[in-house]
Amino acid sequence: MIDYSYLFCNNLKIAQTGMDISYSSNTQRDTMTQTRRTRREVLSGFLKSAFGIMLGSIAVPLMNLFGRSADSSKTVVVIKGKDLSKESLERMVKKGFDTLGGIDRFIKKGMKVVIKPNIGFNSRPEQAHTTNPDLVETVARMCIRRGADVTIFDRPVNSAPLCYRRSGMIQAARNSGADIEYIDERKFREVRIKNPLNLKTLLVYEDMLKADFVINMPIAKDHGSATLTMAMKNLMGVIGGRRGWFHINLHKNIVDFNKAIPVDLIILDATRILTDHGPNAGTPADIKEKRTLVMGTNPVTVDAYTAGFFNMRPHRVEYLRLAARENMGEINTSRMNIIKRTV
Amino acid sequence: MRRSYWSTLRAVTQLLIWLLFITLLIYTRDPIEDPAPYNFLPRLSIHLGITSSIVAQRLLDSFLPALIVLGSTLFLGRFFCGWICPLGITIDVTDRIFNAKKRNILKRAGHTIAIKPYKFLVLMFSLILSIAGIHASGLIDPLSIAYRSYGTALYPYFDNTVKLIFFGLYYIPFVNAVSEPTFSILKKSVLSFHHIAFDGHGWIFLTLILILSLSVFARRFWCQSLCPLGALLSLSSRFSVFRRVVDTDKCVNCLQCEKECRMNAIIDNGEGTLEGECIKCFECLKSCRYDAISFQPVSPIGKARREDEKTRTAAGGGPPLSRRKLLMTLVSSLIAIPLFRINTSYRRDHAFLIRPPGALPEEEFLDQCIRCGQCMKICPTNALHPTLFEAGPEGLFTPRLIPKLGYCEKNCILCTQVCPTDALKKLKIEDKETTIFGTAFIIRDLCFPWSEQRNCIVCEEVCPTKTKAIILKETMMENSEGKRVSVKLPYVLENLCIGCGVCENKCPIAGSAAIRVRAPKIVSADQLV
Repeated sequence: MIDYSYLFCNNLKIAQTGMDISYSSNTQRDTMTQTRRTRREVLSGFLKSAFGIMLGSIAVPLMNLFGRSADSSKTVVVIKGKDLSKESLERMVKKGFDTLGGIDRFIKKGMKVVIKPNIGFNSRPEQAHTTNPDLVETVARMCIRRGADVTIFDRPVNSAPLCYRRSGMIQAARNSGADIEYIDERKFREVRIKNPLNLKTLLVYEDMLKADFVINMPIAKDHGSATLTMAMKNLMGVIGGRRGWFHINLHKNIVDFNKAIPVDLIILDATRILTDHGPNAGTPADIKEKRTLVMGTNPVTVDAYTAGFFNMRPHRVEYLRLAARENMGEINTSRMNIIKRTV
Repeated sequence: MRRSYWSTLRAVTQLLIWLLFITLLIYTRDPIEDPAPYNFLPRLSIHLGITSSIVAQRLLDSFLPALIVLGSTLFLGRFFCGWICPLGITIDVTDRIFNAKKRNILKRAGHTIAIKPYKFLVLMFSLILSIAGIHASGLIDPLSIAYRSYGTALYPYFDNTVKLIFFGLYYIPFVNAVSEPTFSILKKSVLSFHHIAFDGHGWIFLTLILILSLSVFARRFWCQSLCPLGALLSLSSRFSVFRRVVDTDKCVNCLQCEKECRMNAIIDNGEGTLEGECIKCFECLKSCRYDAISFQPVSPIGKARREDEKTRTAAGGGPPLSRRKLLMTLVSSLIAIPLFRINTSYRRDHAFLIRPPGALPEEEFLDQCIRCGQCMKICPTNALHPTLFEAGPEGLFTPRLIPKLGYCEKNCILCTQVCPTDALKKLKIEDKETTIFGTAFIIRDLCFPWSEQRNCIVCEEVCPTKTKAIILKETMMENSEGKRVSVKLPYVLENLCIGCGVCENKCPIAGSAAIRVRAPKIVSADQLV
């Protein structure tokens, strides 16, 4: 997954320079003055890189202990675009990645990338019940250009072939070169949840657990029982068992899903949001075109920020309150690191 | 040309027709744009055409192909039974498997036995009932039986069995390296994506088995003695142009052809033919060592025809419907009429008889539905199932929606498109959402929020109507421990509910759902101001 130690090496270049010079020690014989300066640089370079690596090696396990409570998890990148054309979406996604440090930091050649959009319902993209297929296509294409293998799937509420088709996902996968698969009911694995609120174990889709990199791509919608459905609720599409049962104590279950299933990046689709009669109904009056993407590595933070689009304080959403109590992320927008960009 | 050329051609044609039938059956499914052109199989039956038109009290133009088939019998005789009918093909196969050639109770020393005319009595029965307004023809029509049996019984059996085998192989290492890719290919082709299983499939299978088991008595027993469509086609085949002609100079009366004839159509010591029975299987042609048999066009005014008719009456062949038999049929039809018509089960309680979207009002629906099962087979969520007696005996094998087994997908109008008789009116996708075919109601004693003060609200979440036919009202309630809690209570907005049943289907209560769909509360708002 992501290497966070870069945060503690303020200047990555220094560590690198230190390493470079140490290997080229043959050149030290060439000029005496240069050698002395080089040695000082070598020493300071070594000290800085050693310090960085030391901190990094402590910080990474520390962060894993407390969940993603490091600074990066409080970062939310909000990109607003001009329109919903594929060109505009590509610019938005690229800007988002660049703001987070560049897509190469996340996606490397040969990685198995899983994109988990919302393909829950048998609806057209304009109805804002499912993730914008052009957005999924854009992200998939960018990952494939980096040399990764991309797989797209979801476990819909309605009949899967109808949902995959009408939502435009099959076409998006075909256009971008990604694989798109239907859920195979045999491939759910039982995961034990540490410190659960309600569920001791959970059946999780194998491909989610085996992926090298998971991109959660939800669409932000109003929801009758969950209040709002965004990144955290989107994980409902990769769990096994009878979906209906998870609606009892839904909010605690949503928190438990997020404890059980690691996600590497969230690209939340706020190009069109459904502000009422969600998650699968509504008239055009309920759809707001916001032309926005919200990106981040912490689903709790991303969701808490996105609640603002519905004129809601994050504290109104029970699963966000519970997640904050569990130290899973920051829900107070004033304490977040919000970076807004427009393309 | 070799003697066996025609019979081989027939066998090959039968195989191709069967493959076409199976392919159409399997592949007429989502995501097909318009399944209507592929629903033609039951429309080839003139028996269904006539009875349905009588019951519906107007000429149903969807049965035009049946007229073409009828017309063709005037030239080629009863070839439809021998070359095309899928039930006939199935019977031929089971006859061969069970070696039915050895038995032939329908022929005793010289003349065909009297049971053969029963198909005309069955036909009469069907016609009389249709005149009385009872549409029982779909139950006994071979094309309806063929599609219904393959679609709701045989194909699901095949699908479920194959899936079971591959599911098991998945867990065996090494074997699954071969079985999984094979399974993927099968899943994309002949297997159904969704689980298919039909309520009442056993009875439909049983009907087919009963028909096929008649092999015990003779080959093509159904076709010879019981098939009403065969009866109609045999009446017109008597005047066909292409007939079996025997060269009496070459014929030695060895009776080899008579032994081979699976329809017992050969009479008069091998020299005559009951053209109404001859299905043009050409086995006689193959078996005649003396080259005495040929099939030739014979002019209707020709000598051969007169000879045939002479031999027919002499041998006691043709349709010898004695007056007694006719009378008995009439009487049994009259008795059958009230048996079918008196439909107390419908009047008593048809709350849970939900018809597919676009269905005509119940009376007209029963008049036009031919019980072919195409709507049930094509439904992508396995929502439609055959009724047994919920709609009375007349409604046997008509389709109903069972939400717990499958709900009606929004944006899907496949059943209405495929129905060959418009018993399900063709809907447009835009109209689907305002077509009401049921109304949901909540059983508060079962529903979690209402009875246990625990939030659930799956029904509201999945309701697909534009402005949600289920609403949630946040209410303070006292739970069983005496604590006051806030509960989101569901209410059904009945004027918005279309009855798709997704709420009932997804309701998490075990056993039976807490929200149920029943027939629309008010039958028709059209007449109201």
